[in-house]
Amino acid sequence: MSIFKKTFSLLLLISLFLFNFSVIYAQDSETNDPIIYEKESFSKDIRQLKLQYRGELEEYRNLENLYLIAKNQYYKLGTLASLEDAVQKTQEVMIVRDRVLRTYLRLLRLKLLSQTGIELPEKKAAEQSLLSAIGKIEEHQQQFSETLDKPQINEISEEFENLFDQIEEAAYQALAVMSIGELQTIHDKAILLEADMETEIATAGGALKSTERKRSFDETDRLLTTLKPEFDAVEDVYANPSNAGYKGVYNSIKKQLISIHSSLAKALTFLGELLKI
Amino acid sequence: MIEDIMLDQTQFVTESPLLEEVEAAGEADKNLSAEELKQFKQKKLKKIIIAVIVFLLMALGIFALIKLGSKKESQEIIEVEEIELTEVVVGPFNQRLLELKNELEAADPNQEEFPFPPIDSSINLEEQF
Repeated sequence: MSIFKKTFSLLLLISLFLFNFSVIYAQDSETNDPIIYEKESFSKDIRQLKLQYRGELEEYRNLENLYLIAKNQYYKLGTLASLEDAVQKTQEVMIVRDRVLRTYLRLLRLKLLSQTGIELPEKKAAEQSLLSAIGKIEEHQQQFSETLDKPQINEISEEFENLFDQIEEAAYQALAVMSIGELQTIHDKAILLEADMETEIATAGGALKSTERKRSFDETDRLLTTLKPEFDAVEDVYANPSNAGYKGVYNSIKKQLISIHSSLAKALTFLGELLKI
Repeated sequence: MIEDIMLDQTQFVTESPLLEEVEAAGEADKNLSAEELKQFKQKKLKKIIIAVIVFLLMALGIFALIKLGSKKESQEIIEVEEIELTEVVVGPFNQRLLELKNELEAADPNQEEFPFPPIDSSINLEEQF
């Protein structure tokens, strides 16, 4: 072997030895966390139902205008043709109204199921009310399978007014429990975050900083603790609805929830400040 | 015609000019003196030494380049680790806090996400305008 061949081979060997070879492993397959999957699935369904609801509500508004015009025409003209048109328009708007309410309650149900921080019995009770109302609307929808006349329309209208109360009750029950649950979850998470922060960073830095942090943690803790009785009061109102029903509950707890919301915002600002000390 | 052809192979071989040259070259080595042979070997050795030196210099150069590169990398890794260490303490808390703030914004009781639909519950044909 010539000297050049020898040199080349030796160089190649040394180069291979000197260079670092790294093996790149393929990334692990994505984790299929069932909770995350469920949340994503809910979000997708909620998005779809929201779109459907908006479309139906828009359709309802248009039909409601047409119904009002037709009814006005009927009472102005009093002809059979105007009566026929008014009956048709009334039936059409009633059909879409049922559809809007049904989609709305289904949307609330999905939102309720996807939400954390609600006690299971309360969640179940609210869901049951929604399902019952949805069932009643579906029954009501059956009545429009045939063409109706004026007396039938008025009869259905009277029935609907009773059904509407039940629909409202179910909707406000869900809205009330969800609005409490949302803030309750944030409160719980804020307490956990504060506790974790206290464990991790309370002793970091000098003695001066530690003292400052201690005072800040105590203040934040006091603020979060004062919210507990406020939540209890709201829960109490929800658990014992007055004669005004859940619509009344929803309206009466709103002020308290606004106050809780503002206190939580303050507590989170405190935690943000604590991270900068 | 017959005179042009050499039938005597021995004579042909000795007279062949090509073979004469080969034999001359081969015999040249044999004919070198001991001193000349020594000089020839020294030249060969010099060539080998030069080649080895060149190779070693190249290998050293490559090694130095690689060392320099790995030093830079390790410096970068140390810097990244320092940043990560500070982020390990505060980073996740900031993230959690940000998430909580976003959730709180979405849960504002003044902004209802799903208000009750604005529908007329008393649609009928009885009412007079």
